[in-house]
Amino acid sequence: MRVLDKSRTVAPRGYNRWLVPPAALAVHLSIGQVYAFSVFKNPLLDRFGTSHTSIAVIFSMAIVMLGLSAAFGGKWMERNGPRKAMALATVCWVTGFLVASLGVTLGQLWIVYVGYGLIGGIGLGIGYISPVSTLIKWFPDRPGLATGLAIMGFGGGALVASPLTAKLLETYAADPTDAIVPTMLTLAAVYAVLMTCGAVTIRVPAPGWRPEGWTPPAPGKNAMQSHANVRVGNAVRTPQFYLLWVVLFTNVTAGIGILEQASPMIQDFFPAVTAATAAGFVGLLSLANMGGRFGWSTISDKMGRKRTYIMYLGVGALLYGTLAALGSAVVGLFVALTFVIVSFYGGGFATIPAYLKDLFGELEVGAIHGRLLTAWSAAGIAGPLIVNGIADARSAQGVTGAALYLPSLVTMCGVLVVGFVANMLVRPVSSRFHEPETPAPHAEPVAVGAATEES
Amino acid sequence: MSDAQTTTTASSAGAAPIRVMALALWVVVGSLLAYGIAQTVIKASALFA
Repeated sequence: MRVLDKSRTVAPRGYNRWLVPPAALAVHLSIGQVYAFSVFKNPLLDRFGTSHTSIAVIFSMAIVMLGLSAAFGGKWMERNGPRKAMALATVCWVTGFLVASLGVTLGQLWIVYVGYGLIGGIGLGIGYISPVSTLIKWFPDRPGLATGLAIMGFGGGALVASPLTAKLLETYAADPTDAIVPTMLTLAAVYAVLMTCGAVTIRVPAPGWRPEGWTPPAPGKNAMQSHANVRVGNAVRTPQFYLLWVVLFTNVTAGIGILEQASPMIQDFFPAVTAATAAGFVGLLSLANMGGRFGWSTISDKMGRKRTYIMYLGVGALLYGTLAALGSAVVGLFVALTFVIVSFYGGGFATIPAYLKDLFGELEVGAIHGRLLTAWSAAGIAGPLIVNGIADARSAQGVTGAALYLPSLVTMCGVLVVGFVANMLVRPVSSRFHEPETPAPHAEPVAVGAATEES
Repeated sequence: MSDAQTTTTASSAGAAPIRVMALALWVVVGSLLAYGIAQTVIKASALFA
């Protein structure tokens, strides 16, 4: 299987770096389906006749496995290259659907857990990190834009899968319960082709390659940008890693604070809002999420990563506070505040790899990113627990309307303040963690796309 | 033609299919994104109806 080797993916001479992002997008658009999993929820409830929690476990397992596989698979991915990682992600993600559909056919929910949750979750994690370090190598001058483009694909994956899944469920059978298996098999086929195309077309730059006309900023010009590399084994021994873990955890938790309850929340804040309008609101938040991933991450190349997170966390906390105090006044204000908060949630995901590159260099940034994604898994558990726990408690007290959510909004404000403080404490990584500098490669640094003879 | 030029020519010729495939993939992913965004904009428009 030498075709999967990293050496077989070195870009040919003159290769345009803008031909690389579609490979990343192909993978992220496919695995982004996970956030449209809820479309299967009601048909699965009918098929298995079980509780909401039992079905919700499928998604939760997938997200937990995403974090674990990204954390443990990152170093393997750095060593073996993006093509092998994308190929593995394809096999796991597609197999997850196949095994899950077997579970549905046999009426065995545990097989669905193993399929979509366990195997699919591994595909999620490896697929998520697979293109990141490659894109950062191709776009050292604009890492925020590059990673934003890929991670926007993850958000976009749900936008594609949600209507597509609904359409397939409606088309394959009169009863959606009978359409689950053919729908899953169709999605598996589509993602198999799309992700394989990504794995085939991915390319890494040749050693010493840099964008034409670009030189790395002089040391000391921006102290927050490292001119050295830190291996993942050392990165996890730095305080900066754990500070960024807190930053990501709090940013994701705060976003979940809105996303988890968006539809019921707008209807409780404004009783005149119908279910259809609430669904429109959820759609708008999806656009905010996706737009934030690309937009804010691209802007971070100009603003600087630390300042960008000051905005996400500091302005985000202010917005949450405003939402708690004034959100019920006018629906337009409510929508505007939540739109920006959710755009910061998306931006936080997309900007973090570039922040890691700034602090730890690009040598093992993919592996470090993988370890950091455990913060996402933790937030994926903590966020809904906080939100639903508070909502249940308030409901039990007979509280209704906007007041039902106030403690939740104030809590999220506090969570963001914690993240803000953590971000403010981030300083350049101590040189004792840096890798020794190696002599420059014998070949002179080459211009756009020039590479070895391999392709 | 020198050996270096022959190798360069062969390398460039071999790279043409991958460039075409990458461009085609841009069209595919771009179309998928456009579909997803369009569907979501339609759904979001209910908020303003």
